Amino acid sequence: MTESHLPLTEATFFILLSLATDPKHGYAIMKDVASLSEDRVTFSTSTLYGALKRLLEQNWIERFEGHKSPDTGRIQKHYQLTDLGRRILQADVERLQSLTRAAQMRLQDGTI
Amino acid sequence: MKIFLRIVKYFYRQLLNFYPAAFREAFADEMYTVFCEAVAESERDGLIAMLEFCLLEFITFPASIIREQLAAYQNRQLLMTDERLMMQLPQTTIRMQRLCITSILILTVAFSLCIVLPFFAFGLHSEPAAQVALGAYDPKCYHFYQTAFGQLSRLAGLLLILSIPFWATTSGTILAFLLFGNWYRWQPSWRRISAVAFVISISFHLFLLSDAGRVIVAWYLD
Repeated sequence: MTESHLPLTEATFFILLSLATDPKHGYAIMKDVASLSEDRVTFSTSTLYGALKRLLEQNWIERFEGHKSPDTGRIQKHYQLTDLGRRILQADVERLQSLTRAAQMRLQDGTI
Repeated sequence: MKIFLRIVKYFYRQLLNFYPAAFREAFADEMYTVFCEAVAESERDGLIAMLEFCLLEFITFPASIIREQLAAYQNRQLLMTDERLMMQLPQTTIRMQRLCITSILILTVAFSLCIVLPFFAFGLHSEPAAQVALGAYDPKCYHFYQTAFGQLSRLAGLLLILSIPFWATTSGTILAFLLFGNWYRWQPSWRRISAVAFVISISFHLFLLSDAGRVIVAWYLD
């Protein structure tokens, strides 16, 4: 079932990966994705929240109220992976690993 | 710099209003907070970093708004097949809509039967329009209009002609107001019939302003 959602787009992959360790709020996801992708994937707030909305609709992530932001005093919304989201991320990581393995084997053979 | 930041934040807040209501409700405050945090941090990295960040934000905004509006529209289209959706409309709105549609349909049928049909039935469409308009074919001279039924029909026709501007304008305006004001809540069949009735109400005015319409009315009022 998870295979039908693969391959993930780079943006989706990094968002899910960012949430793999612990729940994060929007700004933390933005910074974490930039750091994970070595600044290759940079989200604007509009693209980030568009992506988060779709992930919420697909039930790959869920949202909950966290603590108050020290800057704004507002309660921050945090996002975390659901079981389904984690399974999909895991499946995509395995897919990428198998691709990398195949490429490495071929490169070591020197046939490319 | 502070004024620039304030202006940027103000514009950002305004742009959020272009998102669909459901999206705005769920994410607008959060997006604004994140934007404020991010812009404040980019400011610490210097002017270029901040401008770069703002540029990215404002460039990606229109596409994102269009995408969300389209998604919301498709979502509404799906919901519209649900009959329960009409239940969200107040009964008075539905009743008023029905009244306006019926009124315009009655107007159309009555106008066609009492005025347009006799005009064509007496073969006046093949006579010179100028002479018809000038009263060369007075309706009173026709045998049909000398009978009781004919007189009644003529009276109804006269009342219709006098009331058409008010009738069609009022019904059409109310209909348009109710139709477009609740566009997504009407079922497709209701929207279709309302749109047709609205077009008919406009057509009445166009017809009465056209040469053919003026000739028919002039003949009838003679």
